[in-house]
Amino acid sequence: MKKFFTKKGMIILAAAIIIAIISGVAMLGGNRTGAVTSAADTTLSPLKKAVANIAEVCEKLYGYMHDYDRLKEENALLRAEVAGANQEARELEKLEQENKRLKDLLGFATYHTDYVFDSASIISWSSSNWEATFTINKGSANSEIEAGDSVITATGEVVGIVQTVSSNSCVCASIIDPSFSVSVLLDNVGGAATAKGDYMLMKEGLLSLDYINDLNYVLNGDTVMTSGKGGVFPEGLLVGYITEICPKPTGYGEYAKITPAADLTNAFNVFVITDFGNLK
Amino acid sequence: MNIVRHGILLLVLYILQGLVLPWFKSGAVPLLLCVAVAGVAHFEGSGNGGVFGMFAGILMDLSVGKPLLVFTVVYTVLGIVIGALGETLFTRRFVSYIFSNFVMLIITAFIQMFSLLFFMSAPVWHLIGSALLHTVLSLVCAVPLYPIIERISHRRHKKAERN
Repeated sequence: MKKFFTKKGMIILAAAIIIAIISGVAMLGGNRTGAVTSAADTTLSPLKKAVANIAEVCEKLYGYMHDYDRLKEENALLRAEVAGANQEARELEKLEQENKRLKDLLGFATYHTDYVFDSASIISWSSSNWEATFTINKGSANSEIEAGDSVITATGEVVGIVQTVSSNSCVCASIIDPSFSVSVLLDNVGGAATAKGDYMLMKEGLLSLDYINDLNYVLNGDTVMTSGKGGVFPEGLLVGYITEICPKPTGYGEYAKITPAADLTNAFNVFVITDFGNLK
Repeated sequence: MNIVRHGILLLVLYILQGLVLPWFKSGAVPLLLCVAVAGVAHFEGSGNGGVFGMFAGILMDLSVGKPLLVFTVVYTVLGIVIGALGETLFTRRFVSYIFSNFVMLIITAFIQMFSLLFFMSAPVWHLIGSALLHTVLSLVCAVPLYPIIERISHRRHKKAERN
């Protein structure tokens, strides 16, 4: 206490009294916060703002950290849901396509109640440059398919014929394969002819019409149907359409080119007629 | 013979030749397995050539969709013959590699066109033209396969050259 009443202590005391008097006078003037407080506020305001901003950032960071796990979990859940929805959409599309094929087949089968069908998928094409054969995913173990059965599309267009049967797959000659041959009828020409694969036409995706009595009556666009003769193919299956009539390479006679009705490039799902003509 | 490397080579070429390229329907599929047999036999000799040829032949029969074991037998024999030529006559360089491939591809084409030629009486010149076209296509594919097959057969090749 004794020390306080030195020169320095007296100065501090005087300054405090002066500040108190000034504050008191200022308060009397209507400024309720007081000049000192106000001055202090003004001085500290930027600092307060800075601290507030830092606090806000920290709060946000904390919020992010706090929500991260929840958001991550929610994101994974949503991703799974989207993947599930996509998978469902793909399956629906697949089912829709299958439904369409089966509807087509049903329409075709309504007119051919004696046909017994087995559905199959083309799993590979031969890599040989000299033939146009393909393999389907049905064999003796999982179907009634036998060699010589006809392979068609859902709308009854000829795709080929079964050549060899293994336990789980079959090798089929496509309609343009050089070994393929079928007895046919043209819609406006009497008498039968033979549609057969030709190596020269195979590269163009065509087959030839041969052994016909009179090509003068054959016109481009004529429909070629199976005649049913020979017992391999049932009658009335669509083989293709006449595209062009050309002279034979030997120079003697003419032959017609047939464009297959079945789209071999995009043929993935086919049907095999395992039996026909046994309607009771 | 490094079974794993040769097995991978066979598998990759079979997938390409037998399962991928036929879907493109470009009109011609290069016979990659045939090229591989000629290459391996050329660099590694008759023994390995024969064994590799046998497995490649089985895959070739599968890829052309025939249950007959024609190529299994033919590629085994050709693998041995080309391997023997590589051990005796050939210099084991690029030119002789291409020549080995050419011989194998021509024989393969002849086997494949056999029924068309003799049983279906297809025009001979047309068949020969197609055979040459397919052979050239396969030979073009043999060029990028050369360093791969040479690398796979590298050790044995060097060993054989030293001997």
